[in-house]
Amino acid sequence: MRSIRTFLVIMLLSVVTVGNFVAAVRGYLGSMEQSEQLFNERMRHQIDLLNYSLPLSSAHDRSSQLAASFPAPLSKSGLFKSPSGLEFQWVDRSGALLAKSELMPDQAVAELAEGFRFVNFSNHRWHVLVAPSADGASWFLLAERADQRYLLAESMILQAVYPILFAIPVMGLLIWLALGIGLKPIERMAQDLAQRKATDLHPLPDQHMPRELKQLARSANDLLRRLDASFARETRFTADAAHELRTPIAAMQIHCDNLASSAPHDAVSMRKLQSSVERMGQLVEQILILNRIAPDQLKGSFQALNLSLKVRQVIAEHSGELAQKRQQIAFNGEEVWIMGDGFAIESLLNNLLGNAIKYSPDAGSIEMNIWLRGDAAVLEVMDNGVGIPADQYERVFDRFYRVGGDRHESQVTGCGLGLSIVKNVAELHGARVQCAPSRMGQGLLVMVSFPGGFSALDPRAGKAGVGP
Amino acid sequence: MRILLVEDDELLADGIVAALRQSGFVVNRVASGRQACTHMQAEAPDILLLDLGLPDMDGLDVLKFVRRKGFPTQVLILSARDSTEAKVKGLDFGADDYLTKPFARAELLARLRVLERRLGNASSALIEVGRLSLNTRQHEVSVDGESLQLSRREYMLLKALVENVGVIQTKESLEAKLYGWGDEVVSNAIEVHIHNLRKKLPENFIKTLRGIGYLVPKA
Repeated sequence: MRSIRTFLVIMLLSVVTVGNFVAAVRGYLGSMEQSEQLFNERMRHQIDLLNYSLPLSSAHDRSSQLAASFPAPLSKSGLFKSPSGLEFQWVDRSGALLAKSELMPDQAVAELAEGFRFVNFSNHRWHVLVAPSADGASWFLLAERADQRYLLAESMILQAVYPILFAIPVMGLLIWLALGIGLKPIERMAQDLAQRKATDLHPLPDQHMPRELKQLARSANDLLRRLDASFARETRFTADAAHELRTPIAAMQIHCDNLASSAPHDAVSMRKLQSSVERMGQLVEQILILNRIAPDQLKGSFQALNLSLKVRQVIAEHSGELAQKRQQIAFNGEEVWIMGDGFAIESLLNNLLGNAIKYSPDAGSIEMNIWLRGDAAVLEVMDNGVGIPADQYERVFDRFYRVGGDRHESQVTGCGLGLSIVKNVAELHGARVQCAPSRMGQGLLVMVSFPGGFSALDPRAGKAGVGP
Repeated sequence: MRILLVEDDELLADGIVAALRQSGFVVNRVASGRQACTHMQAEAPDILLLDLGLPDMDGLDVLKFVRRKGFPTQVLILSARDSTEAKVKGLDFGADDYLTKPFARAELLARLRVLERRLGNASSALIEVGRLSLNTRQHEVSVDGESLQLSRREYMLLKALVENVGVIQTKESLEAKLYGWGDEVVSNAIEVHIHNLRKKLPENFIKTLRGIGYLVPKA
């Protein structure tokens, strides 16, 4: 069944047609019977008429050749010519012809006994009524061609049946339209489901649905609920697993640090062990961050944020690493505000600055800039480190992708999730992230442009106070 | 310094105990909340290192018990719960500091030193950075043994910088330390105090990071 609507239209129309046909056949048979009686009745009336007219006009000269006095003229004048072609004979008691219409033979066509009967003559089948005249001295034979009588009756009946045939296409159209209206709720439900985003597992609204669809909507909602629950379970599992890993990693790290504090400084394995533990810790943290910045976790938590203040705070948090690598950091920017989630923005900044520090050489330079370009708040993070080949600018945002695989020439530990966190946060804020060659001669420039940035003078900035 | 460590994870606890003993602390370790409370009543330590996810009760309940009984103990929470809400809750319940797992040994020791200083232990009340020394108990600052005359705000500013040596302090975080809520802060107040401090301190003692903040580099 390709379409319920087409199927129903065809089915309903067939039912209506068959029903009408049966009714028409039944009506046809009934009508034929009725018209038979009607015609017979008419023949009796004709006999009555003949009783009045013929005997009177011929009473005076009954003996004379009546047969000749009536012949053709009477019938030709149409006096006795009924629409159905009624013919007559008038015979006396012995069967001798007194008068007749033109088409009738000269002998009596039927036995002289009262009643209806079928008789064949003149190459046709006739329906004949034989009746005695009022005085009983003569007989009237009234004949009607059976086929003509039948045709007449049929044409009368068909006149009544034809309109039904014309009604069928009209009914088809009306049924089509009515079904269209009736099936609208299904269409609406289908549209509602089709327009959804993959992450939207909200139940379908079922208050205004017809009874039949309510059941369907309930089943669909039940499925959506189970799907939602299983997604939630999966997300929670990832978060819980990562969370539970923190304690054993903390144990590894402290034992590792304890060992390192007493080991000779040139113990290569010790250093590698430390950086492996560090990398594992980072990976777990990054997974937790990715989990926490999932769109359904952050819904509705956007507020006015002082982006410039966030940048300064994040730089301050990294001062240890900056000092360790003796890197120069510069920040140029006006006070720019955006609408965003504090945690997510911090994660984005942490990752961009963290990468710049990791992939720049000792005593390298890092620059962060913020400005308003039209309505957009533009953030730039630039370094003079190893950079990224231009053909990999897109791929570095993929999860677990690391430039040059795990044998990165910079020998830096990382887990390949940093830039996908950056991308996720950017997408969450409707922002665009781009990589470009750094303006410092070598290295990388990452540019994030947030839509809807505003300056500190904007009333929205005031509402949020000094900002979180 | 006597420290009580409340941690149910055997491996982590052993690591922390070893780290603290190497650094000269006296450490006792218990693995449950109830043991912690019993131990506190018998002998209150100077510092309580408290895990939140304990097998028998929530670490926060141990913290409540410690505060209700009024023990003069500094409490450092060690927890895998890293959300802002969890940290705020811990601090609001009376913790003095909050460190999330996993952590570096150096950071744990640094934070313990801060708590030690707060307890007013003579040896740790003294912060020395290069030629400068700052006594947090006597509020005295000296360079090469010669004491400096500082205003209250200058002292607080310098203390904030040397307490976090090597860590950039943003203008906003310094303002928050120097001024209370409702204090009218002139927009260049910090710059003025820094300017005045610099005149009294050795050259380049305070480093400016344009647009970001100030820093006292590690000597």
